Amino acid sequence: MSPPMDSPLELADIQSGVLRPRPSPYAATYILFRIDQAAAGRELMERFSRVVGSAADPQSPAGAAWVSVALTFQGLKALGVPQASLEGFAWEFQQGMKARAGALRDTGESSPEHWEAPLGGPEVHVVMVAVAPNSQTLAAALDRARAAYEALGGVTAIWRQDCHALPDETEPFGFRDGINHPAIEGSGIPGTDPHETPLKAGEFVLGYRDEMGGFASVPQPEVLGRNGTYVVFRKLHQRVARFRRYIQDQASGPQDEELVAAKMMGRWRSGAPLALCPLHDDPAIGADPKRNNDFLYADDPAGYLTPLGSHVRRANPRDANIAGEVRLHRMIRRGAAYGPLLPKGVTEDDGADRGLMFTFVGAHPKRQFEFVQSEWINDGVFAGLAGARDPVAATVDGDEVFSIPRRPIPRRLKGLPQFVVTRGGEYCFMPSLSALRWLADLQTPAPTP
Amino acid sequence: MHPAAAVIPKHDPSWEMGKHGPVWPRTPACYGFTIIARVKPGTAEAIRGYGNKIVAALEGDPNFLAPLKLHYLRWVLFDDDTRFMYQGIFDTDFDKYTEDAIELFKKSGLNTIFENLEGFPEDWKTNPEAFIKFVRAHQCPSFMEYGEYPYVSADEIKKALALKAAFTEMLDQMQ
Repeated sequence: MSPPMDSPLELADIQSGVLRPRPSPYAATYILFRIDQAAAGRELMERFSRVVGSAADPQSPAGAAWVSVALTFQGLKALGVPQASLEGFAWEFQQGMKARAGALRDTGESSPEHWEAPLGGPEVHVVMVAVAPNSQTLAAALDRARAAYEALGGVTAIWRQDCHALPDETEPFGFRDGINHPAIEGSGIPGTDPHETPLKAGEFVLGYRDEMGGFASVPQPEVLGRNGTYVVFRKLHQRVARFRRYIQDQASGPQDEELVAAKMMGRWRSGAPLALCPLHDDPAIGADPKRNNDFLYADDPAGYLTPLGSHVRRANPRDANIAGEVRLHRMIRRGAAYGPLLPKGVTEDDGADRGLMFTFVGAHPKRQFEFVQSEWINDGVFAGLAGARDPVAATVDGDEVFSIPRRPIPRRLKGLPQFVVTRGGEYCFMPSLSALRWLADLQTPAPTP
Repeated sequence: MHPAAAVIPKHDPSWEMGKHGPVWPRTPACYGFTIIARVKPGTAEAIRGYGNKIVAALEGDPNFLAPLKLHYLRWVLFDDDTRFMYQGIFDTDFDKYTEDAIELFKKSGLNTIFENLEGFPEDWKTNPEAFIKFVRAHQCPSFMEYGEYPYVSADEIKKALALKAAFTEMLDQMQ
């Protein structure tokens, strides 16, 4: 049998949120819904199908805001999706994030028993994300959306998280975020790393050939699964005061603080990579999209420039000498900051909740998202670092040490506390536009609650 | 450093579950597997031939297996060449690295010795799911594993040996 022909990406059927980077600056809101009545849930899908933009549209049907919609496995069930269709979804997605906490190393303070309700619970069915260039535009779009779902009855909004860009496009620790976006064959959206060959579309969208030359399982009927993908939402609380204090305690002075922080992250605060600016920050490079992602690691095998264990080198090891194949573990990731900015210089915790809403997009939740969490962030064997974990993003379990390669002997940062705590999240399926309409038209009997 | 042994029970509710069953924990002898399967009739010599292929490939590129983070491979034909045992000791969890291993073998052009085993999926190159099902179906988990130097990775051992060599060299230079 000859392999099926490769078809071009059907951009007009793929939700814009799958492939298009968010605007910058941005305001974003996440709303979670519970479906109380299948008929109302189906009507909600119908209404969403009219406001969700496609990856082919330069304009959003929702005006100045972009809306994305995804469903949890429980949500698909609540809509009455037939069992045979449900069984075609990725096993990990069927389990849900809470059940996968062990595999994700969400233990200790990050374990599901401490999560914010209703995250991880059985009543989270639909996730809606609205993104706009500013809060005013977003608020107007959300008002219109609210009118649509409140009038519906039978679906209830149960949780909301507002996000907004921080100054200089940084995440709450103060580093420029959103620099890396992989190039995807046929998407027409350029990647940010000039050294990375575009990844096969099947890494990010169901129904297309992936990097292994095969296809991820497409839930049937074809209209349900094709052009959809998996997304993972995580609310990650960031302990900014603790991060600043730790850096202060480790450093010999303000200049050294910046170096220690950059070594932990792999980039300076401006986004300038250590690989290009090993000695001091260079904001011009950090702000230049042509240069801030234009580097490799093979010429730095010992990590004298970019430590092997630093956050960005773990999250994307590029051409570094590691276990396995980097291209099988690439993903689209986006962060949207929430909570108030901790004023500059403050090192005492003010009790405010701040952090990132993290989003993963990919067709292979196990070998992409789960793999990166357990192997690259929460272990070090892949890079020859034994059990050493990510100094910024890992779950802390025991005495964590971060080693900064340096001649003649490495500098070791000891007693790393946990800076990022998982507050909860969901594994979701982001259906195609035609699948949204298929879900709206479902005629199966409503599931019994 | 103290030698250590671990008993691996048939079941343990604390093990992380994966799609195809429990994810066996790392032991004092690191990760690994023992796969035992029937040989397709008449292919025993082809299986033996893979030994030469691996040796030749390593002569060409000593690091071609490095991304697998292996300590040891032991390949055994037994029961009058009707059965084959593939035992590997490595530092990564094979469940998580199945696709990586497949890609590595594809790249090397070696294909895999598994192709000569009964029940091995023909589409293994693009179907990691079928590959891992075969491995799971033929894996015989250990009930005890021992490490004289427990939980030490191959990278750490190589680093220690390189360090020793460098020290020896340094001391020689100081004579």
